[in-house]
Amino acid sequence: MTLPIDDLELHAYVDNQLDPDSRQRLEQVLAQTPALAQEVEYLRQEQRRLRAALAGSASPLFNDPLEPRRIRHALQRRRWQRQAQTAVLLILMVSTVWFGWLSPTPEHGLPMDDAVQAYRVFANADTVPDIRFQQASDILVWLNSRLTSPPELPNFAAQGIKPVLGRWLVTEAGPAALVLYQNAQGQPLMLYIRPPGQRMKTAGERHDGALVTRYWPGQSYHYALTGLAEAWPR
Amino acid sequence: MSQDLTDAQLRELLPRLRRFAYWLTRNASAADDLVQNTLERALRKAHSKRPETQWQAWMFRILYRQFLDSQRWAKRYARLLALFGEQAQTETDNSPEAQWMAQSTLEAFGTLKPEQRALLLLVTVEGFSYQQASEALDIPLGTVMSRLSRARQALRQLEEGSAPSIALRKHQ
Repeated sequence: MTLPIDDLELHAYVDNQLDPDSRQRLEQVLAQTPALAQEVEYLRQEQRRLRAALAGSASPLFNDPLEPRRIRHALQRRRWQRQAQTAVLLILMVSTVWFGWLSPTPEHGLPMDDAVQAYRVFANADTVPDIRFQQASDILVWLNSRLTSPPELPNFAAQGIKPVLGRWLVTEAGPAALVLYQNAQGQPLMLYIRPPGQRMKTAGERHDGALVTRYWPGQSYHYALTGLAEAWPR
Repeated sequence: MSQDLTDAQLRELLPRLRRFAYWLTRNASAADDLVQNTLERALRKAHSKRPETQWQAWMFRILYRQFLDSQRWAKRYARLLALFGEQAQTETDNSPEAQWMAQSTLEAFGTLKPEQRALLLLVTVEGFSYQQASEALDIPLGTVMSRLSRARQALRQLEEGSAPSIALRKHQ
């Protein structure tokens, strides 16, 4: 026999969320149906069990008490620290630019390092600066012609995203590669592979208008993938 | 900084927010980060809270949204790494508190979906009404009810491997 009560009503009854009329109607059925009374008792026990198990769960997990005043102070302190850091950064940037103009040799890196790197990349007769990929395997052959370690390439095949064009670029730390992919709708996605000259500890994401860029540090190179949000593989 | 959110209110809410955060993330340090971020956001945005919304529902809502955002980002990052044949590092919690929760009810509760855990915590432990839970989790009232019923069924299955012994009318 199916009772004239649905499961949602029963839960609402146990949680004291029924309006008085519905509550009265349910209690009438309850009085005549021991199985339903048993079910209500089970739900109430379950509620008590869960409450007992979870209600005490905060204390063993966290030892330090959270004191609101301390948190407000910490927030204020952090705000000041951030302002101070911004100020220091600004001073550093200004002084770097200032001393950069004054001093003949900068402390870090050498002037026009990228020119030297450009020579290394392009003065080689074997270097193909731009390439149109005929098949997916061409991309590794092309990248391995300049990169010293094998790059970790995305496997886009399952998403119908194919490499189309490749181009060598130069950074002060060595060659960088741009690989243009296209998805099944012909929308572009650009993979940028560069030597880890710049500091990047963790992966991240940034939005520039409609463009989404996700970047991450790999084994030997840093990677960034850029494209319109709708072109990204799902 | 708004003075509307008093220290006394925070003192009452913080342990509850911490508990909620812990059971969403199941990691004590991630929970602490989540609560810190929630507080920072709440103290910054206190002036934008609508007067009719209660502080507790408002704070839980901020925390839950931040949790969903972090989950979304973690999923996207994992998908991206998967394309490169790598696996995202998931923070496994081997701390004493993780071992401590190996009790059957808690263990079963911990394996529910995060949205089910969130709702059960609010309604069963925090004593939220369905309406307050609907505001805090930003879901319609009907979803609160159906999700709650499914969560309890799932918990029962996990704990006892049994379904209710009575035949109830199916909700339309």
